[in-house]
Amino acid sequence: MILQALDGYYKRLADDPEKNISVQGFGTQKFYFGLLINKNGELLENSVIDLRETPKKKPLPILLNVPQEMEERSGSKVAPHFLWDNTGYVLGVDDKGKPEKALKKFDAFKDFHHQLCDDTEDEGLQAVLRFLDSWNPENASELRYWDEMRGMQIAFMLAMEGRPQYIHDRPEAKRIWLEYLKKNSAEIRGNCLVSGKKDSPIARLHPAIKGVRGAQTKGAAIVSFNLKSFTSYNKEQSYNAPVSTEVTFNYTTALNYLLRSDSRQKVQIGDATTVFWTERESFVEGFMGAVFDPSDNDNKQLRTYLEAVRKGKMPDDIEEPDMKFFILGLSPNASRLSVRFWHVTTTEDISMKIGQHFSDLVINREYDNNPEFPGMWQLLRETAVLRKLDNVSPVLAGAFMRAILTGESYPRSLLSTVITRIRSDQTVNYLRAAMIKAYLVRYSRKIKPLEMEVKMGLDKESPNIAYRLGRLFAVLEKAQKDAIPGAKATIKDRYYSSASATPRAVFPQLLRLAQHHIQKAEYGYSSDKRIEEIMQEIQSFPGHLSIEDQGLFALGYYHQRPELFKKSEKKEEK
Amino acid sequence: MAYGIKLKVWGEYACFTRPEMKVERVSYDVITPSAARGVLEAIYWKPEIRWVIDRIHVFKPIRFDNIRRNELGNKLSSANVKKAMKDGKSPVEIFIEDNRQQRAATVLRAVAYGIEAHFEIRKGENNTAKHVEMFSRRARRGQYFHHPYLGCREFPAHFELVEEDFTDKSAFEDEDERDLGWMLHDIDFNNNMEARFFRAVMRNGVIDVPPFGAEEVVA
Repeated sequence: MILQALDGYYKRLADDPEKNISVQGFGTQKFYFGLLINKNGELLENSVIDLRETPKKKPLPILLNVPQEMEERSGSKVAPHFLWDNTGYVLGVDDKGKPEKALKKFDAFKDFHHQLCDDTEDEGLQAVLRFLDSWNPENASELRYWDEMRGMQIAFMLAMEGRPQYIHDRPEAKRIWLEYLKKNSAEIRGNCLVSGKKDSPIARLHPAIKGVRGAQTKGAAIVSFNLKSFTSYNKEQSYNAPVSTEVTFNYTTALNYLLRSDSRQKVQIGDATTVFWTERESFVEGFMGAVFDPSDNDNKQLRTYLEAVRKGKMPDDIEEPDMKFFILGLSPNASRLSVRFWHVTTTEDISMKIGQHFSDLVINREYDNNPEFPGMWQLLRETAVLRKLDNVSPVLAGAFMRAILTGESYPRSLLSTVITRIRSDQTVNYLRAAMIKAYLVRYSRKIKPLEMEVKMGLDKESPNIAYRLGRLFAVLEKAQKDAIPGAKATIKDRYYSSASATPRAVFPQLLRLAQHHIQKAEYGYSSDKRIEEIMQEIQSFPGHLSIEDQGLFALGYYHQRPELFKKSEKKEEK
Repeated sequence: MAYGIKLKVWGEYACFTRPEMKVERVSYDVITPSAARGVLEAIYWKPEIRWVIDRIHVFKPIRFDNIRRNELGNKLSSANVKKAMKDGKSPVEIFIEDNRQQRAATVLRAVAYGIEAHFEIRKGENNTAKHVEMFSRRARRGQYFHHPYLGCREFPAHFELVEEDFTDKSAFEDEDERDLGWMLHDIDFNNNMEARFFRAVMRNGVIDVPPFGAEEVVA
């Protein structure tokens, strides 16, 4: 499923020349400099070409498709690459502080190229051989840009009339490389468990996946058997799960493409780096990331889309509603990657689910600049200690995400975490109220109908005790504020958490206290009236409130508060 | 198939690990034939018979969940065991404290399957009625050799012998066809422990399992 889908995505990318995706046997590498040689293998005066691009201040490397790395260079192993490498291999001098080792690498590089290219007439490859034969590593320091390029990767370029050309792009070079690969490919053959192809070469190790946050920079693997306990029936490494080298290459290349640094199909959710893609080209694929992590809220197309789906409508732009939509969340675990979630759906379905999510979230906003379509990380930050993203529970993030994608009820831990946060810092803000409301709406729809319907704004008619108590608490707070405007510790600071959890222990005392406030305040009678109105439906204070009721309490409080300030402002104007 | 049996199994969690993702475990979407065989063998098995899974009914929707567990990173080497057998005093032990591995798993939640199976006689007297009776009696009473489980020992399976037809409605009843990809069929224990795979296709909530030796089952 996962590997199959990625394999399919690779094929889609490979068909699209604009995507510039690597083909089998080749991989992208970062380059800063190129070495320009002529047909005789001589370096000319300005032979080091600066390949860097400088869109901003910092020079960035360019990505080139070059013959892939054959095997991992671990420890002291000397293994040259074909037609590109770092200066240690190409020029015999590097920045590692071991000149003899570098010379050894250079010799290995030279031998390797002789071995591959001695029989060819191709002038580009012959030029490389001539260059390697005549090059003296002692001259390296005389090269232009030497200080900057020392130790970096270098590609060969051939001086041609007009523009110089990369030697690794020459058809002959590609042919030789593929032939070499074929000869040295895995010896074990078998049936691929992803494609089902019979008698294909089976990969022993799978290439690394780069770009998952928190994983090692050199990459980590999804399929890896790096400890004894992972193996079964005396099988070694990836022979535990036979996957053909072709599929191995395809799925890792596609996944690395999705995870590249400027990918618009990637978003971080909790500890999971999440990627999206569709079966075929589609516009939803491009901004699904923005739905979860809206870095640019001004994107007009995105807004139109979100507004439409929130109303339950399908935006017309989606031509193929039943196109498959894939979501894969990966998180690092030691040198491996674990699949945190995997979800296959259709573009229509995903649009509906996202619309449902945002319509469940709708609640009166506190301030005009509150986001109308809060991203997932904005919401989750409200559940974290000190509102730090690092403190978001990864389990909660994953479960929340899953709830959004499947339309199931939100995780109960979402409600309890939000309530805990409210109780510990006594703040019911827009995002928290929205999450509580969304939770309760879905709870009511999916699990058990609540006694009341949860609305966007104040519901004066609702007889629900928890909700009423929340409203009452807001009124009591206002009464105190009217009486003692600059109070340091308000009743909210001191009593919110006990009022919401064990009303019977707190409210009688608060009401008594309120009488003093009402007497003292200028417009005390209005508070008195409000208290009376709310209390009408409250026969007795419950001993304790369940977590759902505490949610309603918070909502009652959140809904009532702006109401109080609205009225009082009007009165002062008079 | 006169001696076919039907068994309903269900559980809170299940993990039918995919071989390519068995390190950071990811489950197959549904129970594999070899896992189903394991359930049957837990209830009743004798060296004379071999269970063959014919059909798998998927009753509940496919739902995933994440859990993290501490698992062991190493295996006890056979050399150690041999040594201990020889000298009678070398320790044969492995300590979780020294070798703990935290591993994540994407597992299935709330599953229920119907297993249709029969058995073949491998050797001995050909008395199929005896084996059917013994299995049915044990299953009816809830007896088992070891507790049947859904893919991992941590996920116990509840079971019930179904004597007529399955009455449960499948969540996929209206879905004509769903391709579940290549799935592990079973291990070929006679041939270098080779794993054999088949293309699992669910039609209206039912997966037909080809016989182990069939052409569509590939190694």
